[in-house]
Amino acid sequence: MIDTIYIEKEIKKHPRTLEILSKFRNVRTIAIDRYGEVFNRKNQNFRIQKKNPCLILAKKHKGFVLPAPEGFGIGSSKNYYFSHMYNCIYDCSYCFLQGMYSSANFVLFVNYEDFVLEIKKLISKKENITFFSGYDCDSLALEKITGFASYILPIFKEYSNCILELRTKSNQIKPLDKIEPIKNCVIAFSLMPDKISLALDKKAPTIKRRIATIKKLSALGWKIGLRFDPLIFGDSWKDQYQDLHENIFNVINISSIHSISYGPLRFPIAMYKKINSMYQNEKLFVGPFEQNQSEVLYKQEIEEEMTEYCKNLSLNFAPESLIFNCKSN
Amino acid sequence: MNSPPSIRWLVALRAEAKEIISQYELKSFEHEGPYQIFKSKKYDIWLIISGIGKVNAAAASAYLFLKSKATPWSIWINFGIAGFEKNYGTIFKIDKIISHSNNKTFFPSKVIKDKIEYASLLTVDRAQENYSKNYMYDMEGSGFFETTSKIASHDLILVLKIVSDNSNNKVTSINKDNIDCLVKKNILAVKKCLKNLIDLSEEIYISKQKPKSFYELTSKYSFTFSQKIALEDLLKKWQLLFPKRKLDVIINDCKDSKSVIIRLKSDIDETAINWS
Ligand code: SF4
Repeated sequence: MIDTIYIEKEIKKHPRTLEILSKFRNVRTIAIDRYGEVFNRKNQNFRIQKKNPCLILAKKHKGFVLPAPEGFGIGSSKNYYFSHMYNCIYDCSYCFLQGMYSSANFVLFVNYEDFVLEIKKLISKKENITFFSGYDCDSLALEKITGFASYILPIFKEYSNCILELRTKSNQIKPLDKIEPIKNCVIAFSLMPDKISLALDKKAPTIKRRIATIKKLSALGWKIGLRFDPLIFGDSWKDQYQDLHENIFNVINISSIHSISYGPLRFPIAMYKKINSMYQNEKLFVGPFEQNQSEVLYKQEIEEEMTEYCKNLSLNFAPESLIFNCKSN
Repeated sequence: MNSPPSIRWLVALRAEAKEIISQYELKSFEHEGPYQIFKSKKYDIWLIISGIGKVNAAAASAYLFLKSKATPWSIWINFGIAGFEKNYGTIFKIDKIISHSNNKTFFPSKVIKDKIEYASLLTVDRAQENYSKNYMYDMEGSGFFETTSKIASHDLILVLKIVSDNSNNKVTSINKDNIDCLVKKNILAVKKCLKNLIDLSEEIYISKQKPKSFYELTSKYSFTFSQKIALEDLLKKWQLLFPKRKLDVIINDCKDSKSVIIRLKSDIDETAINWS
């Protein structure tokens, strides 16, 4: 559990900082000027820090909402993402955050209001936009502490031309069980076969628990996104993905599915090298991978076969209009 | 010799070092440099006596780094006494260091959990008698940390300070004997704390090691530089896929480095991971 919180002096008295601090007992607080002093230090070891991460409360100054990488999307022509937090309480072996940041400490930006201002500016351009939350963290895993989803969800209620996707592996359903479902908000769950998830999604809720959460949320009326992302290859993968699809579609009403997407496993080359060097015994990095000019990925025939096969599995249960390919990292 | 435990101690005074030298059976390391150095005969453990002050601490850290051929998994510890208005005799781990003369601030990593509590440290250039309850005072911490954080893994640097003086225990009454006594009182806690850090250091050490068979194969066949990189990666994968298979049997009929690589690669490519 978090035993130290670094706090930027500028937001020491921010009401949200005080609220967050009130949720901790016996925590040591350390004043800092800017979060980078702790987060961006050289010679840090992500894997070692992951054992006992600290929380850093900070103020974000720019880059509140950014264009989503190409290939990331579920139908809208414009896709943006925002990250109120860097890093995650879970520890997935394929997580790109470990290749992106040198620290495993959690950074939480408390000036949520500024995110909303930027979001509203974009929305005012009257385009259909999908906003993704949960790109640099899990959207709901730390909700009890951050309250970010509770803050952001009602805002989207006013803008039915936009979609908000909260990407998660969490079985944390607050605040979703306390408010009326918002039609243009999608709670999207990352999913993979049980055995593979047990090996790779460390510290995250099991697939069984994720499916149970999906069931609860869909019963409450929330729109659900099914994200088979990343697709992981292995022995008997076809049977495993078939079981997974059956287990999900047996409990969820198709009418509550907003979209289904399939995302292959891909790493930018430098990131792959960095992450691979962090692990001595991680089967994931056995591949079989190949490398193109910019990425390390499963061999093309594997990637294509997995995507096609899984899409066809979904087609047994859902119309094609709900299915998307997602090729971004 | 450079495998864990690999530890570098930096202390300002001989009296602070005495118990460490005895516990880790360190012997004087004869050399012609400006600092007294001690080292273990069995392990990669070194201790340097820097003298008082942050400039000395910085210079001695750099000197020890070179002299001892410190590794990426070496643990660096600045151990010593400090002033603090409370908790006389108690040891603290330091998680914030401010250098008084230039206001530079450093944040040592907090990766280990144990019973030793954390405190902040103000490194000053002259002994202080106006004690604070918010900061410990010392004269080396910032110099040590500023230097070691450039040459060592941030997460393996530790600053440990024992409260030796405050308004009830005057700095003028500090002597060799009471320093020794304070160190002895805390040595068990220090060793426990160090044990946690050694475990982390071992993880870093292991992550930097090549598979054993790499050395066997490279001595048997002649690999080019790029083949060696490929070989290391393939061996790592091969061993994960086939933990029970014997590599020497598999490559028995390989005539050269190229055929070893082809053999390993085809084994790997033909096998899908079993996730159960
Ligand atoms: S849940 Fe997502 S963000 Fe969190 S560790 Fe896993 S992949 Fe990374």
